[in-house]
Amino acid sequence: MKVKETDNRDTGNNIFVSWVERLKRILSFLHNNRERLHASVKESRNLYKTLIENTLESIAVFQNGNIILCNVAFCNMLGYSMDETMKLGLGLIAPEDRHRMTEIHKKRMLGELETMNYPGIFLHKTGVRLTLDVNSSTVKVNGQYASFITMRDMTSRLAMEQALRESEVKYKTLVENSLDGIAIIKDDKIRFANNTLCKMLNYTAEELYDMPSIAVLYPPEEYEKTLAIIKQRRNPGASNITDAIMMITSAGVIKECEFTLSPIEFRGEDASLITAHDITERKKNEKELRLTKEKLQKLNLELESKVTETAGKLTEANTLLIRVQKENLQSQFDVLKQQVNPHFLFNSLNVLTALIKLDPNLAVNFSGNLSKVYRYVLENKDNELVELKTELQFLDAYIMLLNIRFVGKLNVNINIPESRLNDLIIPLAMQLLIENAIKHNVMSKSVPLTIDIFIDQDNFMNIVNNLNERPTQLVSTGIGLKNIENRYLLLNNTKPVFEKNATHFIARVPLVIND
Amino acid sequence: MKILIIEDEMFAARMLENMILEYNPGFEVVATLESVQDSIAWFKSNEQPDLIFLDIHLEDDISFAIFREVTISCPIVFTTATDEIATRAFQVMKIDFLHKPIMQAELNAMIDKYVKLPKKPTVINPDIFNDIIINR
Repeated sequence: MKVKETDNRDTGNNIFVSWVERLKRILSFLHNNRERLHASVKESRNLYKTLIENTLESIAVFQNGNIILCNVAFCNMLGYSMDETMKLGLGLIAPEDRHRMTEIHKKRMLGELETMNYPGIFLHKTGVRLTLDVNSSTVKVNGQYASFITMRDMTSRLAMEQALRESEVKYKTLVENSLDGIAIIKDDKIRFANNTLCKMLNYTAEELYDMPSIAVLYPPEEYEKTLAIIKQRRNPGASNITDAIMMITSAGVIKECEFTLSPIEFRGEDASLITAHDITERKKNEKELRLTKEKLQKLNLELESKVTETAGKLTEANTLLIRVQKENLQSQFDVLKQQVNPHFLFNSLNVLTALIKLDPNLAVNFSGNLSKVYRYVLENKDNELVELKTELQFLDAYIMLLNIRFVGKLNVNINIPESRLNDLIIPLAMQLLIENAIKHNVMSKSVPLTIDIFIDQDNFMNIVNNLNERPTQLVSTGIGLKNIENRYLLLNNTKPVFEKNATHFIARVPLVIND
Repeated sequence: MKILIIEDEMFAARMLENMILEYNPGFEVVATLESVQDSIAWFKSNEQPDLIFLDIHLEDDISFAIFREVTISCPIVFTTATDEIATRAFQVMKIDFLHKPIMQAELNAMIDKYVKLPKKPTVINPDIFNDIIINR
């Protein structure tokens, strides 16, 4: 655009220079051949006068500090009439530039200067200073040197106007399309508001114009404070500080805004340029983000406690497992302990001692059976299962010992078919159940303890005794039944079943068929 | 000396009686009882003896049950095979007891104690055994 401008001016210059040269030649010709060419001069003068008068270029001829010739364009450019222009002469030049230009004119009057092009400052009638492109050259008028001045303001002014318009459009576009609300505030009143601010506050630009700025601030009772902040921002060095203020829309909606304030000149006076960015949404998002974060943290905590809880449960389960394993070991140990039951041994020895004195033959029989019992215990203590016939032989010896100890107070009836004698059973289970029955029940001659031993249709060995429970017991390890259960548990076999009804205690111990 | 035997195993009771008479044939075994119920009944209708040999496991209950029903004012010697808990309790409470099988020498020493020393009644509070019994 600027290049084109220059071209135009150059073209204008060239035209004009050639035109001036021609005019100079004409004037010289006129000067030298006044009489001879009087008629043609008159014609030419009229022609050029018309040309000069009608050109858009401003033209003036200065001689001895006075304007001796100027055209309408020159007068219009400076806002004066032809007469006023002629009178003012060098007074048309702005005082600060008058001396310089007068000096140029003086030199030209001496014929010393070539054609020159320079900017000159002139005063418009309104007082506005106009900087104009001045093209001056020396001409001779009436035998005297004169300054031939042409000035072009139109081109540059148009260009400036164009540039200004473009600049305005640019800034207007920028301002209106800005995502920030922009306002100019002067004397605590809104003098300008952009579209964004209008939309943000739900007003039209017309409504906002001249509105006191406090009307859009919130809360109203704090506007003094807010205004103080705004005023403080006007101080040099405090500008462009980002802060948050509350604004209120025409509908009463509160908007939190980030704002900046910069001092500007507005129509020649001090004003404030405010930008406001609606951060309500952002704050809302931030709040949601914070809430979500809190939720996540809470979830995380819950998860952690669940993990801890589960870990605790696992530990508990592990402890339980260890306890079960320990119980298994304990029960294995108990089995061993059971197999050499010291109570039974010492009671038997006590009776044997008595028999030696009282009935030596029975004592021999008793000690023989006691030996059988303990030999069996030693031989089978490591076996998981024994054949039923072996167990029953041991049981016969054991029952014989009991019958001698508890004469007439105990009846044990064994009824096992021979076909089942090869079946397997855990060793000493039946003996333990008999001992249990003796331990828990009253047994006297009048009410003897009766124990029936048989195999039922479900392949369980039954040890059944009539119920006549003793009121109190000495504290004991209480491992009897548990011991049998644990041993079957270790075998992964069917569990034994223990039932008690009103009249009987029924122990059912699974048999393992020996193939 | 009048001696009472409370023991549910017949041969054990007869053996003990023989051993007491071995110590002193002049001693009198006033009765041999096999159950708690018989013992309570006996104490209710007889004078207290000079010494009692008392088994723990009787045919109908443990012998401590007797003390709930009758007050015994004579010395008692408990007899037991291997009731560990009872044995420990006797030791703690300084109650006399004999382990089965009973040896003649140990029995003699025990009886000596009660013959030679002035007779001091052993009043047994039945509650002292609460910690070692389970009530059904």
